[in-house]
Amino acid sequence: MHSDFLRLIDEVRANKKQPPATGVTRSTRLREDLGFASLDLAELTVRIEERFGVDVFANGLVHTLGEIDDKIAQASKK
Amino acid sequence: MNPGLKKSWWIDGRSGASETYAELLAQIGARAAAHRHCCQPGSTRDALTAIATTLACDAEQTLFDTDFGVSEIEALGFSDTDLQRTIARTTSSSVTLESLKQKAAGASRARLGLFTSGSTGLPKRVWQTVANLARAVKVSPHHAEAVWALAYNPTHVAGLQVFLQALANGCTLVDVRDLDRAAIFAALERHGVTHLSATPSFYRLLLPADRVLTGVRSVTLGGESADAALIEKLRALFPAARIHNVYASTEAGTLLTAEGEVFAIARGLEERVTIRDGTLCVHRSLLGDFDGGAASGEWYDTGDAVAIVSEAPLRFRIVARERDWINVGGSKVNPHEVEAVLAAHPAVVQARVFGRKNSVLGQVLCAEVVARGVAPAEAELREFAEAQLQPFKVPRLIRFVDNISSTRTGKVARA
Repeated sequence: MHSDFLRLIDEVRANKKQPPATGVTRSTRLREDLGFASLDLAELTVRIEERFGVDVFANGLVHTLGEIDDKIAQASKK
Repeated sequence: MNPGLKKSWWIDGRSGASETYAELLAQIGARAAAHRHCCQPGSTRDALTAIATTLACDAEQTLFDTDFGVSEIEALGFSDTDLQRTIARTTSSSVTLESLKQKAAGASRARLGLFTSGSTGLPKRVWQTVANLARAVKVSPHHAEAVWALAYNPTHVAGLQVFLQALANGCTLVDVRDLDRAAIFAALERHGVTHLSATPSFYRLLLPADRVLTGVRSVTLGGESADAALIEKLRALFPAARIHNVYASTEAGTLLTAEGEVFAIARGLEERVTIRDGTLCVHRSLLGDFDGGAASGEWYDTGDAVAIVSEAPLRFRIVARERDWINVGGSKVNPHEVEAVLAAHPAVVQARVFGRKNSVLGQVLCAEVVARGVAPAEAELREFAEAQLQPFKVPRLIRFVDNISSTRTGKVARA
């Protein structure tokens, strides 16, 4: 997965006073595994949009880190 | 014993804990002896019990949000002493389930002081009568079968309307506030929720759905604008439900209804709601009693821009809501209030707070900050804001800049 994407996840976690995520994979789920609530998901999308120029939730919410990473990869190709 | 008394009036969607109507009546009796004129409830159940007591006693009560901080309450001009002050009420002995239901349906003479985001400065208190809040409440044996989910803040208009509708019919209310997606689905299914009223942001949390909920018969959206794509997805998730869109404000309660995105003025209000110069205006007779509301003439301009779809019958879309306020997932943020908090940090010269369009919450709160000397860490400024503001008012992205971007007129831009 894109290292900047993982860094942005840790930024959101740091703002929640949580340590950097460990052991995350493409199948890690945002809500169930990372415990991201709506405000956290919104923050993550804003940070991703700022860095990669893509709104990863534009076509409905996504569940896993892999799904977001794919959207970032697609946007980077364009 | 009246079977209605054994029914749960409230269920905690997270833990499954519940309380019966008989227990609610006992609580009302106990609380009426020391009624609080100002109340900051500790929990949703506490808030609802306080409101039910106020209804039953035909009393007055100012209700603070459960998550207001001490400095927010002080900034509104209230002190700890105000929160402690109690008044003995006497009507408690006669409270029955039937009388409570009638009072919730609008018979109560109670008034509730609620807080709304002011367009300048701090939130302001608006006095609402129960008669006004209960205007949309419908009572019938059919409505008594409903099981309601409470997704709104109980101290705001939308949450109060859900509560009054449930209470007036002796229904069960399932508290699904602040639950995560899996817990919401579990609570809706486990407790057989039939009626759901929430913000578009709440519903987006349930999508994409990996199941269908056939038990839900009515789905209402309010608090922020909903797009057609969201409504389409909700039809798939709730195939048996009628889907409604409502428009309400703290000042005026429910005004408009819609199926889909096109609004009509609520039945019976055709003479008292109108469109002037492209904005929605409300007759003063519908307004709560608040500073500026009485003095602003016969019509109150909500500031919400509309685009007319048809003249007769009158149908329109809501184009933009309330000029300055930023709607974060249905909670309105006054940027001036947040800017004032950020600017109070010793390392901050100037702050600009704005909403950025977001597919999760409609808008996300962001801030541009000009620092004095070396900029503090984003996390530090965030922590400073968190100590003084409700969570939804804290900017989720803070950027340090050399100059605040402003519009050509010299006003700070609100992108």
